[in-house]
Formats: sequence, structure tokens, C-alpha cells
Amino acid sequence: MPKLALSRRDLLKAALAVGGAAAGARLAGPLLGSASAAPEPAHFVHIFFNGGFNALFAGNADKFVAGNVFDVTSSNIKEVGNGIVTDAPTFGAFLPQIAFDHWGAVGIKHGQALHTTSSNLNSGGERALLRDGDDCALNKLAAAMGGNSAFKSVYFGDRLPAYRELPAFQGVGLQRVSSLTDALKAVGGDPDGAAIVSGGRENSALSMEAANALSAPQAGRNPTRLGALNGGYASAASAFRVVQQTPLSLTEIDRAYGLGGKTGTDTFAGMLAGAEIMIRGAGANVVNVTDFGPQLWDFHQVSGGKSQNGYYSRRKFLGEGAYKENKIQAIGRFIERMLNLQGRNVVVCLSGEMVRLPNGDHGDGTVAVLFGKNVKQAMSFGVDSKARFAQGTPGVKGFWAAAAAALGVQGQPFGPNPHTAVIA
Amino acid sequence: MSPRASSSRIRSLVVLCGVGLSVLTVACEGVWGDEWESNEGALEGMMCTAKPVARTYLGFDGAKLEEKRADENLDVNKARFKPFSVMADEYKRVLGATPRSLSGAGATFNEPPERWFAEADHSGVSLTAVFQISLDGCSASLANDATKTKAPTAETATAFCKETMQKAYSQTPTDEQVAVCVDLATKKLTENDPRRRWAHVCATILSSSPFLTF
Repeated sequence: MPKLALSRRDLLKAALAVGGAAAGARLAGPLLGSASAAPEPAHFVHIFFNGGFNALFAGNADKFVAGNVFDVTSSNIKEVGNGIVTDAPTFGAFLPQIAFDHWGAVGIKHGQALHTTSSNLNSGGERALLRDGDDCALNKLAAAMGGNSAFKSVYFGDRLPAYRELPAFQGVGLQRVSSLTDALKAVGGDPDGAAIVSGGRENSALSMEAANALSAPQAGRNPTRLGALNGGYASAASAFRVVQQTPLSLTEIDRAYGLGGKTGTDTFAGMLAGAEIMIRGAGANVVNVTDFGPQLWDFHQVSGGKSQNGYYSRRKFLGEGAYKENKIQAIGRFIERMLNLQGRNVVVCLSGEMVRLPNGDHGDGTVAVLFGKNVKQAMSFGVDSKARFAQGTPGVKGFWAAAAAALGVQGQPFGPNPHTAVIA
Repeated sequence: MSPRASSSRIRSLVVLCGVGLSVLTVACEGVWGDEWESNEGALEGMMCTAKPVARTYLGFDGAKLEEKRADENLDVNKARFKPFSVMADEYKRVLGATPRSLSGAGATFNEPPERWFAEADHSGVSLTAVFQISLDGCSASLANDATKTKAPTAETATAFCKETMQKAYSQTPTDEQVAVCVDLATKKLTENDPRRRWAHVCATILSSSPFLTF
């Protein structure tokens, strides 16, 4: 009969797929060489466009004017400044001025021109973007950011990032959030009002720890399917012990994001609202937001030899036609709230699997955009008029190094930042 | 279910073919026995003892599909979380009634949209919600139980834990599990209200994986 109290190390050893957060002790600081925590609470929100993201939105729209690529003309672009030019009807119209002032576009040549899918788990753009070698970059960044959040690394969306359980890093693993009500309750808020749940939760925390012990034998025999439970129970216990300091109500969140009383996270606005709850309420360090559905930004349509990716992407961003939600409006609202959050350094990143090529296909890299108080308005290694990357464009590690620098994480957990141009 | 068995399993070959690309899953020869006594034995018990004979397939990336397949023995990694659609009946089966707060809690259990399928899963956020739903149900279930007006003792807690876990897990709990439950009820919890304390014990059982999975 298996021993009841399987240790965390044993569960990790038994995990044939190394998913799951074996959280327990919250590290006051990371154990990555000399890396140490940022001076103020820092949070990274990674908004990922599956199958996308066209560089015309990221800041290279000017490269496509001459050839009218992606229907870009001199009259439908917005010059943000310092070489950043974006699409006027979408990003230009809906992003706040603070986003324009702190817009750092970084090229990432990850070398993958395929999609990551459930049938292609071992390669593809999404997998390349989220991995630092064998490590999950999201979890590694969360660990490096320090702090004692019960939910250091969380994700929203209808499936796991990169379609599979990603490895925990030093006890920090990704945890899914699928309900705003649950998120609010987990962080000690009261979904029915602005009341703070400040006491009486120690017994609930003890119950979670006991539930973990009751589950351990089964989790030990099912390390792939249930291995993440150990970290889940530990996070839940930690969450029950936290006393919420800042009033956080569903009413405020609902009003801010125009949710109309809905509490699901199956819309962009819902996911971003949930991201705010997890940041303000739980101090989550890393939040990954993935748009719903497979490769939903993978517009290959071509007309007269010209890619229609710009046309369809705009409609999707604006919620026109068959697309029901104005996603860029929700993103603009979120960026404005996050970059104006006092006492916190929130970096919002927009990225996708691959840039789009003028012929309708996809390239082997991405131009991501970082928005943050420590981010300068600048372009670092963008694409040319054919959506190609220049020789020497940094890879994925460089992107994460830039993100860490924008967050103020000391010690360079991903190595030196090659995108110094975008960091203040 | 304890995977103890006194004799080796006979080799079996199971081939599962998916739509489109074939995904070949092959069970292997394994020995199921007293190796589960220790953690190290548990690790060995989860692995195959003989390489299976099977076909090979190439994926889109040129890698053989079977190369990174986990080396897993029979009866390993079979647990699956119960879908939301059955939770009302499950709570009712154990408590006699469905918790009021379960209504509208589909997102907690990863309920998929209509005409869609998504495997249920849980994280720390959803587990806090599951516990609160369970506490709600247990509190209601024990509200009129005259035997729950006194704080748990070792004897009463043992009986309650065994009975509740048997019902919730649909199997006999192990001695260790009963010990954890009794320890929580009699030593760990600081709740002064006896009914609330009993409700916490009940909710703990209904928040553990043997109840949440099948």
C-alpha cells in the first residue's frame, strides 16, 4: 500500500510529464544565480494571439505602405513615435496615450514557421515562445520575480499554453483561472460586494492541507493527471491565509470592463478582468492570456495574390462581422488600468506565434510589444517590408530577458537583455 | 483503489486509433505487487518491465510519436476529474442534497460550452471554490443532525470519517486517510462551533481527489 504522505520530491520524481506546481514555501527570492526580486511588486501579463500576430499592429506598419501589403496605406496608419507605426483603426484608435508613450516593440526570431497544436506539441511558434530550453519561461519568470503570492503564475484561455502541461520551475507552476467569482473568492474578496473577507479562513487552509494529504496516494499513482493537485492545494491553503488588504469587488471590475454581469472568462474582456483580479488581489506575478480556439489569428486568405491577413485581423480586433467582441477596446482599457496602477510595475505584452508574410503565409518569428512604466517608446529588431527579420535578431531568450528588464528583475535570469533600446 | 495484486498481470496489447493521425498507445508488461509499499517501489511499479512491440509513426515534426511517450505501467494515470454535469448527483449521493452554491458553478469545474467537450481540471483557484461549495453543502446537510452538536472525539471522528469517505470515495479509505481526517477533526481545526467543525471535516473529504475523480 502506498505511503500516504508522499513528499513533494517524490511526487515530482513520479511525474512522468513534469507538470504541476509543487508549491509550498513561497520563496522570498529566487534561486537563480544572483537573481533577486524587483524593488516593487511586478506583474507580467502575456496576451498571446494564437496563429498571429501581424507585425503591422506591433509597430512595423510603415514597412508595408509602399506595397500596400496587408491593405496598409499612408492614411490608415498611426505614427506612434520613434519608428513605431501601427494600424490606425485598431491599435491607433483604442490604445491609450500611456501605451503609446511606453511602447517597446521587440523582434523575436524563434525559427519556427509551424503552429504548435495538439498534434504538434514538440515544435511550433507557441512552444518556442514559452520555453527557455526545457524550462517554462512563464514559470521561470514568475519564480525570478519573488514575492509570496499564492498564485504566482496563472493562465486564462480554453486550453493549456502550448497545449500541454508546462514544467514547474522551483515550485512555481501555471494554474488555470476559469471564473471571476472563483478568482475573487480565492483572493479573499466578496463577489457580492466590496467587503473584505479578513478572518476565519485558517480552518479552510487547514482543510486544504488535509485534502492534499487525502489525495496524495491517488496523485502518486496518477502523476501526469493529478500531479498538479499538490501545488493546487498548497496555493489554495496559502490563499485562505492571506488577508485581503485592498477592497476588490466584482461591481468595480464589471463596470471597468463592461461585463454586463457575466462572470465567465470566455471572453477577452472577461479574461483581462480576471487578470486584474489576480494581480490586485493575489499579486500574481505572471498571467498568460490565450485567445480562444485553435490558430484563430491564422488568416491565410489571399486575394489577387495579396494577403488578406490585415483585413481579417482588423475585423477580429474590432469585433466586426462574425466577430462579436471588440478585443482591442478591452486590451486598451486593460493597459490603461494596469499602467496606471499605483505601487505596482505591470508590464503588458502582446505577442503571437508568428509574423505574417505578404504572400499569406507565416514567418519564423514574432514582433512582440511590451507596455510598461520602464519601457521606452522604441523598436528593437523589427521586420522589413517582406516581414523578414534581420540577421542578428535575438531569439526567444532575448525576449524574456527584455521582459525581465522591464519588470526590474535583478540578476538577468534569462541572460543579458539584447533589447536595451526599449528599456528606460 | 489500491493497486496491490498478488500475481503478475498477463501481457496485454491495447491499440487506440484516433481520427486523422493515429496515436498509438501500447500497454506493456508490468508487475503489480508489493512494490507499492515504498515510494521507490511506487516509481518502479509505474514503469513498464518490458518494451512493447508496436508500430511506429512519424509526426509533422519528423519525430517518432512513440519516442517521447511516457513509460507507464497498467493502471497508471487513469484518474479523470468528474465533469460538472455529474456533480449535482454526486453531492446528492453523499450529502442527500445538492449544495445551493453548486448552481451556476460550471466554470469552477471547467464546464465546456454546449456541443463541445473539454476535460475537467482543477487548480488552486478552483479548489478554493470547490471547498466553499462543499462546505455549503456539508453545513446544510449537518444542520439538523443531532449527533453533531458536540465537538468531535477520536471515536466519533473515526466513525464519521470512515463512513463519509466510504460514501464519497466509493471505496474503503486507508488507515492513513482515516488518521488524517481524525487528526484534522480533533486536533487541527480551531472552529469552536461543533457543527461548523464537522462541516469542515466533511468539506475536506469532498474537496479531495478521490471524490473529485473517477
